[in-house]
Amino acid sequence: MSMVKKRYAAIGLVAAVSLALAGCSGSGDGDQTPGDSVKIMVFGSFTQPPFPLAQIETAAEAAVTRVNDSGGINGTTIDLVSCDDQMSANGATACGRQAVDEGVAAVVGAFTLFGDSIVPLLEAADIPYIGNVAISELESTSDISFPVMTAGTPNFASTVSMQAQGCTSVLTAANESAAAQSSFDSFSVPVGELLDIPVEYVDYPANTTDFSSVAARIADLSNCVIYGGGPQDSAALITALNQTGEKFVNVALSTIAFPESSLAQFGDAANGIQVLSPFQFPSTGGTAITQAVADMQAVDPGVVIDETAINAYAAVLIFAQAAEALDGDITGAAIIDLLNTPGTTIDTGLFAPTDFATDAGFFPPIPRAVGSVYQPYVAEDGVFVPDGEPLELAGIF
Amino acid sequence: MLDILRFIITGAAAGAILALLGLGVNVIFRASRVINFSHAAIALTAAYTYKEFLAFSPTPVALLLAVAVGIAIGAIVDSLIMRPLRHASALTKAMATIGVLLTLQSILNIRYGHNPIIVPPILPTTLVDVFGVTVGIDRILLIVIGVIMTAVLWAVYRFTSFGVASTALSVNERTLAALGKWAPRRVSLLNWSIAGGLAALAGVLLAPITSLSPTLSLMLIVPILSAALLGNLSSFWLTLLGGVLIGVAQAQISRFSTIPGLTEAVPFLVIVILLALRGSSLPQRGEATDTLPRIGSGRIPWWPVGIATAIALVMVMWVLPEPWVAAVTTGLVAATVLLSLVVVTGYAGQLSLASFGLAGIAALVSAQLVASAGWSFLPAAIVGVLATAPVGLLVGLPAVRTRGTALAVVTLGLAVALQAMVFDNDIITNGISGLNVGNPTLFGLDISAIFYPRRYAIFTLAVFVLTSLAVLNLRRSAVGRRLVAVRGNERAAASIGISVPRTKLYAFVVSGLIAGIGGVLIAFTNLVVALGNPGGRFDPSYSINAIAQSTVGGIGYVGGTLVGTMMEPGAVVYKLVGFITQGSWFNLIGGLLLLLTVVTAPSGVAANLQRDFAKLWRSIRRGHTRPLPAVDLGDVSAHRVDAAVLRVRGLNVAFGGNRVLHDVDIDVHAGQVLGIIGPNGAGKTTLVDAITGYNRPESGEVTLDVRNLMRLTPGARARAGVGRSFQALELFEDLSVIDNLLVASERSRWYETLVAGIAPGKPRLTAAARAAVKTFGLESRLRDAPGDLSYGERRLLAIARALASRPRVLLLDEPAAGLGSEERGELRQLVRSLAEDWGIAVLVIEHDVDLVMGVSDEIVAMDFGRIIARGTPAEVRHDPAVIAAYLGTDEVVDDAVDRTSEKGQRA
Repeated sequence: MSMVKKRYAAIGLVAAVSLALAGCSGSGDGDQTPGDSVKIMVFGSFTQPPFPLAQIETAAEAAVTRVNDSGGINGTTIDLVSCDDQMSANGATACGRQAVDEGVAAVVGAFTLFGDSIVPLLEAADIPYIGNVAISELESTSDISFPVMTAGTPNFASTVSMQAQGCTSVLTAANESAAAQSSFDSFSVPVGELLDIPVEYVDYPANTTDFSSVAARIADLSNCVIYGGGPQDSAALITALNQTGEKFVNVALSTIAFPESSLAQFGDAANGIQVLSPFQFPSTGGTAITQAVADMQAVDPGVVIDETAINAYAAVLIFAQAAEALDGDITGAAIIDLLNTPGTTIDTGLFAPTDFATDAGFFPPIPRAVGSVYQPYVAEDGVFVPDGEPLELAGIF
Repeated sequence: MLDILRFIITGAAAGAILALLGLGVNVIFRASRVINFSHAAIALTAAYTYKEFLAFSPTPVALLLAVAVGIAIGAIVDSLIMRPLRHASALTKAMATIGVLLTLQSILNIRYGHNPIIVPPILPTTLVDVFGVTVGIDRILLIVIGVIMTAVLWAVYRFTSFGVASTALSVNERTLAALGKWAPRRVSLLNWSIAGGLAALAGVLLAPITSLSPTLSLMLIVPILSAALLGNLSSFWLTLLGGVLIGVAQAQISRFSTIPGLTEAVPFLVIVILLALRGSSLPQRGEATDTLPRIGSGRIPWWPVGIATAIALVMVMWVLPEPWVAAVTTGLVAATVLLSLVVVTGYAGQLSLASFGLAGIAALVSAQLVASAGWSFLPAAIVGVLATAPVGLLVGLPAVRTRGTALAVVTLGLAVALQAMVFDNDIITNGISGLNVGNPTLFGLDISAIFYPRRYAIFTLAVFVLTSLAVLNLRRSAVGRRLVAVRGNERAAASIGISVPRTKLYAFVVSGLIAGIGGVLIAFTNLVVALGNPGGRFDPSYSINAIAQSTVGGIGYVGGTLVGTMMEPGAVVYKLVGFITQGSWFNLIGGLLLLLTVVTAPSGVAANLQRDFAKLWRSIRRGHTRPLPAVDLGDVSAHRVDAAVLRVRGLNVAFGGNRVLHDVDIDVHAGQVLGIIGPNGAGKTTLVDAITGYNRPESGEVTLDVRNLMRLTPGARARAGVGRSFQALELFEDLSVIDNLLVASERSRWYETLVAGIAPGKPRLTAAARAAVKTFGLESRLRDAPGDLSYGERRLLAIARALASRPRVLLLDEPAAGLGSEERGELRQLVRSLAEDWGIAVLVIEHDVDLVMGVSDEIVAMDFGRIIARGTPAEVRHDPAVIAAYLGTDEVVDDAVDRTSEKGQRA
């Protein structure tokens, strides 16, 4: 065999082996459900860092199975299509295009940094964007957007809670990024002004390995810290803060910043870390969340149960309840109309009952946000457990 | 004061970790001249395994096992990748380490996911008081471990035969093998193993402090390499100091500055400045020139291009469904950015890891003009692209004094600084919301990628094809030949009048403009462009991926850009592979593909495809091949140059404390030949280097007629009329024989350089070059590569190239070395002809006494940097000092003197 042939044979062999190996772990599409059905899409960042949130897909699949097993939406089953934004605007746009092409009745459960790339496509096609985590401007303002969880409201809730715990200032720590800075400017600063509490901001380079000097800066400014970075930063920063010898009130901005899987590894050092969420966590023992966890674990026993997963599960239920309330065909336009019209209360059991048309607006920087009731949780032995009464944020602004 | 001290201590501890990792980078570089981009990935892999070992073994055992994993990875990388690449260019080797990085990172992603893994402390964490500052004792211990490891490495590499052998390996593998004590293969394996072990140790120490995440392997590259660069990639103590200084600087800046991104950017900007000060504008004599990846000829295959474009047009217009059209667009946009690397890395040989940073500048400017100033798409796009020119110039500035993989680290550092200070600044880029660019229109036609994806695909296709044609034109132009000349040999390029710094900067500017075109296409692909992280489209990691894609495709080939996009997420191949798998598995395949390519096809897939197609075409056309058209030389008569006199007065050169030239005075007159003789080490080549500007004399003066040359660069001296040849020939191996002559002949006007991509111009040989070709009998070899010539022909080509640049003074450094007796005779006639017929002032350094005595009007004899005799050949022959130092006996030169008499009669 010539060298050229050998070379190409080698390349072909390695490519084939790689693809075969890859194929072993690939998840094939499930069979389409026959009969009368409605299609929805679960969309988000599933595979690529810094937000590889595969649990969103799992949770939506579990919720769809639950709805279908319970008789569907007045007999109509849900077909779920899944689309990963691959952490790129192109990916988000492609998902929007796919949603339009496939004629889905809703896009649910999204967590994406590229909401503004998909929302205009959905607006043009009258497709509701349900239970998305509102991060971008259009996600926060569009009439087709129905978010329960947002990038800004946890900050609001955390600051209210910390002030109630006696904090005289609140510091947000995050890695240097446009997102963190703009989040601080857009949400923390107005909340601080509203509550009349000084808010500070400490950022650190994305490639920080040792957080000792960051911890020293934090210790100089405040003993009440909101962790706005990724889970790795948060873990390293808490380690460094523990070494300053001072006591801190530690609040994770969400369970994305500090998932329970990290708590468990962290051991006793994690005890006392707080998080506030509009969602019921498994530790509450509520019927809906217990069912949801069981459903998710039935799909994938190793699924990460965090707020994005609960949010995605809830989003499917929001769609199902809204669709069930419709008189006619289940269309995107009909659902948008319904949810924007006062009088339809959604109660999934996973967050406080909500009327999207009337409850939105409690947090002016994100006018479409609902979910104003935040439950404080505190880490105990690797689990976030309820800690006190829920906070009602509506009416504070 | 206490505050400053506190941040010094905490910063020093953070820096010690960087230093520990940087030490391993130095170990590799000392032995193999490879900058290991995968060092952090090896460290992380070992640290992850340490966490796994902890589950079933005590900490010391887990540590030892993790170090063993690091050693094993190092050994595997050396055996399977670096060993086959031992003769490859530094660029190829660096790409191989990037392949290792991407592969290991993907494996970690698949195995462990992205959520952080928290590792229990391996060192005690008790708080201690140091000068009033409370700090964990583990941080102090880290500094101590750093110092101990540095001392151990310093001692091993300084005092053991293995250390000496490691240094020798990086200089000359054959010599090391000849010495017999250490087999090069063993030395290389040991060094990679030691580096792997060091990485593992550093990784295990790092893990409890930062916790583990696969993304760290990318994030740590720049700080680690910066620490190693501060140690000049060889000094362990300076690396330790560099790491600590970076840590301290970052801690202090973070404490006392509120400027966004400054903490991340400043240390690397300091490194850029340090490297620029430490570097030199030209490589030193004896610095090895690499065997670089092959590059394309720039010839435009009009029929294939036309047919492929037409097919693509039909496909995106009518055949493909819209999701696939979007995938085509994604690929074409990525390929456009990769074209920028064809120019700067392929043609000009400057390894840039800032391509997406430059693209981001164009995206930012054009998007801001649309989003904030209300401009329409086309003018905003044009201004955006033009805005990359000054930034490209800025990124290119370090290339003036830095080269090779060190330059890659510098450009990566600049890309990081650009991201941290500009793109992540929410005031400039509007944070996570990004900049709303809306729907672009072109001459009233909506070409929105969102609502009219087919139109946008056609637009990107047109832009890609036109940009590709411009790049091919550039390659065939005079400036393209200059780029390739600089890529191949900077010293030789300068000797024929090419301004090496200007040529490099040109490459960076053009590359920036092309990347800018890609950046604009990216910006307008969606309604909103996000530049800030997370999710920023122009993050330095994209630049690393781009160079990986280019390497797989073929970094010197325009066609390679399309091949490279098979690794682009969202493009056609990605969608196809997506039917099987996505995410980390796709990235793993990409990493493996890169490794496979650099080992089996270092010039890239496109280079091999082109070669194989050419073979196939030749076999099909066997018996019907048309000979290449002959090159019309036109007038080949000798052309007299303007008479010139080169004067050297009181020239003194010293290297370190060693004086190698002492008060040298010589004159070289038009129409005459001055021969310089002397034993090895006499200072002959140093004299030529000093005259032509390749070294910096302590004192003295070199004038051409009345013009003082001392402050001129080598290129400027060549342009002033001082040409030279080199002992080692230093031909441009990537250029054909005629291109070697053309590049010396051509003097482009400034506007020709500007429009080279549109109008490449016709090649023009100078009269001197044509005459040289005729005189040297190179007519039949013009289309050949220099590598195809005999040694004698290569020597003649080197002289012809020097002549092509129309020198008035020509310095020939051992022109007869390696020539046969017949060729020496021809050379003698040639040198006399250059002086007598062309009127050139010729200086010849030659060990062939017979030749030099026979050809010279005057002889200068040197020994130990001093002139020991001068005069006619007959006078020098009988000079007792010359006889004692060099000639030995009178008989040696008898024949030569006879020939001198003949020459005198002929003159």
